[in-house]
Amino acid sequence: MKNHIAFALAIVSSFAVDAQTDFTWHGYVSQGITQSKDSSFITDDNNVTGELTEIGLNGYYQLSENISIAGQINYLDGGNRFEQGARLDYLFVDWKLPNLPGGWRGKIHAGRFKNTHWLYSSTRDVPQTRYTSVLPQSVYFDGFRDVALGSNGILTSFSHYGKEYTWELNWSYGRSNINDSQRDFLLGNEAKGKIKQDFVHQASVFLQPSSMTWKIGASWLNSDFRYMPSQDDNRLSGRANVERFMLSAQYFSENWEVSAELLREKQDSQGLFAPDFAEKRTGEGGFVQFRYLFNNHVSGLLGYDTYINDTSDSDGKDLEARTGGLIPAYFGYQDTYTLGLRWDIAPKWRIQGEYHWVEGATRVVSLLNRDVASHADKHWKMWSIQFMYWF
Amino acid sequence: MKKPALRWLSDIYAFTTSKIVLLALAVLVMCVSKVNASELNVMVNESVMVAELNRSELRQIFTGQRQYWDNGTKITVFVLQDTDELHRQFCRDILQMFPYQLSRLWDQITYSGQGITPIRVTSYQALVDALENTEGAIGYVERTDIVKLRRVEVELK
Repeated sequence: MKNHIAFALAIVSSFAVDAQTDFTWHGYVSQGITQSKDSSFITDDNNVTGELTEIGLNGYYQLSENISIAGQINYLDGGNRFEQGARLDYLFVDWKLPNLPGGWRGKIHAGRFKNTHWLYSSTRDVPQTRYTSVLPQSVYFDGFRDVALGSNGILTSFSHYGKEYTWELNWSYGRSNINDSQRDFLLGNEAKGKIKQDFVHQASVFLQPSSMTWKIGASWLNSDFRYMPSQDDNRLSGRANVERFMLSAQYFSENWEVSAELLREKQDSQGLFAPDFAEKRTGEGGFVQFRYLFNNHVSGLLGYDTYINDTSDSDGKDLEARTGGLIPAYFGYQDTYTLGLRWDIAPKWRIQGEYHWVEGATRVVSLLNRDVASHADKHWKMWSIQFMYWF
Repeated sequence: MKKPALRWLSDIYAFTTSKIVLLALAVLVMCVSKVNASELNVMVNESVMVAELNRSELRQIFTGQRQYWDNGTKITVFVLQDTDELHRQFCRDILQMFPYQLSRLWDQITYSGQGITPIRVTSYQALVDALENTEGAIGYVERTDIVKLRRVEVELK
C-alpha cells in the first residue's frame, strides 16, 4: 500500500509547481528506520524496523478572495504508536473575514480542521516540520494523538500585527472519532465497545513582540468522552472528562533556539470498571528543546521531556502498592533525554536522526492492560533515522 | 633627534599608511553596506499601485496573512532559497526574522491548510523574471539593479 502511494506521489511531485493560479498543492514523502530497545513503544520486539513512514498530499483551492477549501490525505506507519494506514488529515472551508476594527484579521475553518493551539500540533505528522520523529510524549502523547490532531467542527482565529506586538487568538469546538487502538490505550485491550468523544473545546492565545525573538502562549482544552460497551464486554458504560492547561514558549536567535511547553492535565472518570467506580487524577509534565544551527545545513538538538501520571504519586510507589506490585512504580512517570542531528542535504531534502534515553513508562501502554509490566523496562531507549523529501 | 629627511620620509610613510587605512576602511564600509538594508529594495510588479509599506504590512504579506492588494489583485510573493545571502538579509533587516523562523511558518501554513505561501525560486535572475512577469508580485532585488519593477518605500519603525 505505502509503496503504491509513494510511487504515485513521486510521479505527482515531478509535476509539482507553485502555480500562480487559484489551486496549489504540496506533499511530503518520508521513510525511516527505528528501534525501541526494552520497550514495546514502537515495536513488540527489540528489532530494527522500517515502520516509520509518513506520506502526505494536500491541496488548497481559492474559490474567491475570502473563501478557500483546504484538504490533506496522509498515510502513516509509526509501529505501535498509532493506527497504521491512510486517512483524511483535514478538509475544511477557510473563510477569511473582512478586515475587522482595530486592524484585526480573522478567519473561520469549518469541517475537519487542524489543532492550532500547541506549538507543533498543526503539523505533527509532517516530518520536515518537527525536530524529532517522536515528539515529546508529555504533550504530544501518541496514544491519544487522533484526538489532539484536530476535530470535526469549527475553528476561529484572530490575529493582530501591531507595531509593538503580534497577537493571535484561537478558539475551536468539535469532536473526533476514536479508533479501536485509542480505545485500547484508554481502557485496556480487553475493552470491546466504542468510545465516543462528545466534544472537545479548545482556546489559545499567543503573543510575539515586534522583534520576533520570542513567542509565548497559553492554551486550554476540555473534552468529554462516553464509553458504550459491547455485549461481550467486561467494561461498563461510563464517562470521562479531560481538562488540559498548557503554557508554550519559544526563543529565537540567529544560531540557536529554545522551545518549551508545560502542561497540567485533569482526568475525571466514572463507571467503566464498576458501577460505583470514580477516579480523579492530575498529571503534569512538559519539555524543553534546544537546537543549535552549526551552519545553513546542519543543526543539533538537545531535549528533555518529563511527565507524571498523578501529581499525588510522583514516583509511582502508591500505584505499585495499590496494584499489589502488578504495575511497577516506574509506570507512574516518564523522563526522556534526547539528542538529535539534522542535515539539509539539498533544498527540500533532509536526513534527521535522534536518540532517546528513557526512564519510566507511563506513556508506553495503558495501565489497564493486565500484562502492563511486560511492555517496558524501567530504563529503555529508542532511536531513528528518517529521510524526507517535500514539495 | 630625527634628521629632517627622515622626518619627511616618515611623513610620507604616515600619509601613505593613513591612505591605506582609509582605503581599507572604505572597502570595509562598502563590504558592510553590502549587507545593509539600504542595498536591498523591496519591489512590486508594475501592476501594483503601492508606494509604501511598513514592516508590519510586509510581515503580513510574507507570512501569508494578507493575500490581496487593496485593489483586489492577488498578491504573489517570490523569494530566494534560505541559504541565499540576499534572502537572509531581507529576513533579518526588513522582516526582522531569521530565515528558519519564516520557513517553519510557511511549512505550518502549507501543511495545515492555512493558506498560500511564497514561491521559492532557485536563482536571482529567476526572481527578477518572476517579479517582472507576474501581476501582483512582490519580492526584493539588489539596489543596484535596473529592473522593470516598482520600488516600494519601506518604513522600518
